[in-house]
Amino acid sequence: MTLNELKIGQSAVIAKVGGEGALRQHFLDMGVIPGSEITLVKFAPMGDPMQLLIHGYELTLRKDDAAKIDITPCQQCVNGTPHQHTDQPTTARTEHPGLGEEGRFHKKDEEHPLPINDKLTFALLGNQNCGKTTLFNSLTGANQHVGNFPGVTVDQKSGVIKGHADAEVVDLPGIYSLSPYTSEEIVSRQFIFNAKPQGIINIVDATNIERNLYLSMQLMELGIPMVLALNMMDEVRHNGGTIHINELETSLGIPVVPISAMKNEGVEELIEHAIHVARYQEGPRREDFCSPSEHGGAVHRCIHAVIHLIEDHALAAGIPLRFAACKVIEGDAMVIEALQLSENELNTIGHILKQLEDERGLDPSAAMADMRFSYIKRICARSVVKPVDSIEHKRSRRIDSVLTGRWTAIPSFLAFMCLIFWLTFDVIGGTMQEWLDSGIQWLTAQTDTLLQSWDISDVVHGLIIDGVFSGVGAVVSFVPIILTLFFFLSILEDSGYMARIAFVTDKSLRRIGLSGRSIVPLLVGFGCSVPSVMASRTLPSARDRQLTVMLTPFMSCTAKLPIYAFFTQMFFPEHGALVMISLYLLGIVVAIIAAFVLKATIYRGEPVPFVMELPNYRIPTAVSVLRLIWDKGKDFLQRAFSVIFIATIVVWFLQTFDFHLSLVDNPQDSILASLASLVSPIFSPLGFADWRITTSLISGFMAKESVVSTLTVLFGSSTALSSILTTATAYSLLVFCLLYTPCVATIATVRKELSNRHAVAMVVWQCAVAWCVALVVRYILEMIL
Amino acid sequence: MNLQSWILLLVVLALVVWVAAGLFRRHRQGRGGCNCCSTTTCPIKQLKKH
Repeated sequence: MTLNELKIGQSAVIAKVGGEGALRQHFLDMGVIPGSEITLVKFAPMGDPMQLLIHGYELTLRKDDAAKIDITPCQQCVNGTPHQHTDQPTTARTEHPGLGEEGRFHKKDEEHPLPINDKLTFALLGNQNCGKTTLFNSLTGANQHVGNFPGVTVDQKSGVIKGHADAEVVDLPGIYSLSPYTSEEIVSRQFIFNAKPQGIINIVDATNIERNLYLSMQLMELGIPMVLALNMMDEVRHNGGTIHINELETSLGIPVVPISAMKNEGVEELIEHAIHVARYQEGPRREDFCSPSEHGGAVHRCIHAVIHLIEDHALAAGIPLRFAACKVIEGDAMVIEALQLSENELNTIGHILKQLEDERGLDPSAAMADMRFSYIKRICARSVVKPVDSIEHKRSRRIDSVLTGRWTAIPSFLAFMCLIFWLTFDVIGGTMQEWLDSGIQWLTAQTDTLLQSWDISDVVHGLIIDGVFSGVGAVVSFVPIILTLFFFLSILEDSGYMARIAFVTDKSLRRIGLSGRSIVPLLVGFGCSVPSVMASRTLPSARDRQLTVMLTPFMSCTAKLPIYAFFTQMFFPEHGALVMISLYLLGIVVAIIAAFVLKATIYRGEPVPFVMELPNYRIPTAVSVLRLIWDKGKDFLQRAFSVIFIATIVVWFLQTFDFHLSLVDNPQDSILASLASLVSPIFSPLGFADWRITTSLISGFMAKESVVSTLTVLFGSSTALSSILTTATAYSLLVFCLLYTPCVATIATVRKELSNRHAVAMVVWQCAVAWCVALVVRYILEMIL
Repeated sequence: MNLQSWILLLVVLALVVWVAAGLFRRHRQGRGGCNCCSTTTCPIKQLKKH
């Protein structure tokens, strides 16, 4: 029987994990190993993927991938909940081992402290969504945004630990193991090998300790001084569970500090322990988790045989020996290549692995994962009192019965999206925009009066009022709408609903060659394309990542809103909402067509498996949401007063002077008119071959908001603009603005994330698609109207 | 142009130069970032420099 044949509510024991390569290793790293109990919670509304419960957390898996996993029905399991283990934590009081502390446990004659002035660097590592960024903010006093979606941290951030100027901590992306499955895992382990941090702060989600300790054990194999921060201990206690810290610390051989990063509890103690182990270079007391008595000692003998065989190579390559041996056994190609083993040594290792398979009855990767999880089970049985089912998990189940329910998931998603857009563009954002716009108009009028009373010359008056105030003011008035949209996107992410959206939409996205995880970058794209392109980094395959990035600019970002609002007020005052919605929908439709084209040509193949953790729902904290709004607001205003300000001045200058730097009476004689006239004929078939519109589109490459400010400066009045465009050509222009090249900041991010080739290709591809679609739209509208 | 017009023009031009210098400085700092990171203080970037 295979996992995809399991019925809802049924439990089973995993017998064999099929598949191959990195994906199979990822299954094993996520705890999908022979002997584990697994329960099918539900299917996504479209029948695929599946939501499974394993090791106390919820995992999503597609049916095709589940078919690779053999299971045997578990007789002991109650429907829906794995049976209770008979293991009970020891009641004997264990003395605190005092690791990472001064006092009677620290022997002065054995210490090897680093010089007092040496700077300490810590790597902050942990699973995805376990509170790393929250802890990073607590440690450093920084203001990084925290989400409730696996993989919010897509780039590294470093900061100085509060009160310790000589200690720096680097927030690395969340990972499940040190296997090279995702780019985050490769980046994190490369950082450890190359930057050689003096210590590791390993943050562990205490509510899901079994799966989290899997990474901890691999980190301990590195031999680097390490502290384990047991986060969310308050939640464990609140649900009637506990963890015997002394017992856990003794078993692991590293300092264990219970903390609550969100409440800032235990963080000071964590810092003290971390600095102590790093300063005195006190590595883990235990790196050897294999036992000579377990399954005849097959894994134990294999690991130690490989250790002896590769010792000189690991030393030469600068890779910790135990870690290197484990990765060689797991078949990690990157480590094997780095070790530069001879053919004879590789043959010997092959024989050792064959012996392991014969004795253990499992392949080497599964045997290693089983060894680690067996050790974790043993120490958890001694030190962890688990709550039967946490309040948070029960609450998530209840909410999910609606939000991911078979008949309610899609309507809920559409309802949420409609509600968000309605509140953003009408109720909240729209109203506040009107207020701000009135304020800006009042300020402009006051400044105008003041300049006239000072008898300022016409040129300078034009620069201030028609240039700066009209241009920058037109863009700034859209701040409320942009912030409101980001507010709702932040709520979606922080609450944990974004992960459910990925789960619900996976099957639909697969049809266009994407995975459910691509929905996150695409939704973020409605806010801003820059973080959206960066968010695509959480996708584990290069093909999925590139395809998602190429489709992201079709999602209409908030910077394009001022353009839509500007034209809607002028040409479609009666049908504003309809035009706005049609543009958003058109962007999505063109993205789908583009996805089919790209899938059939450049990006052939299947999307990567959808193996993702579904976090419990959490109530978004006001601090986190406000922090994001503040960051986005600041970023937007900085852009308005920098890029857009400069662009406005440049446009004003170019349209006020001719090539002899003389003031022009007619703007058509200006430098700008001459330059833009060279490009304008391209837009002739689209119906807007005017040099002023061409100029505004070029300035939109700097920042989309500049299109409005440039049009305002160049046309002066709305009558002048409406006289050169018809309803059909105005809509065609809007379509071109929707689809043409993203701004320079997005292109720069694409260049960083992918390559120069992709960045150039995106500019050309987007402009070509925009031109073609705008042409079609123009002729269709002209036939209808 | 009268004196106050010249003063105002100089103020605006000074502001333009200051903003442009800030943008250029940020652009220079951001250059050379690795594919894994967009931050200017990225440790990976520091590694690359060495």
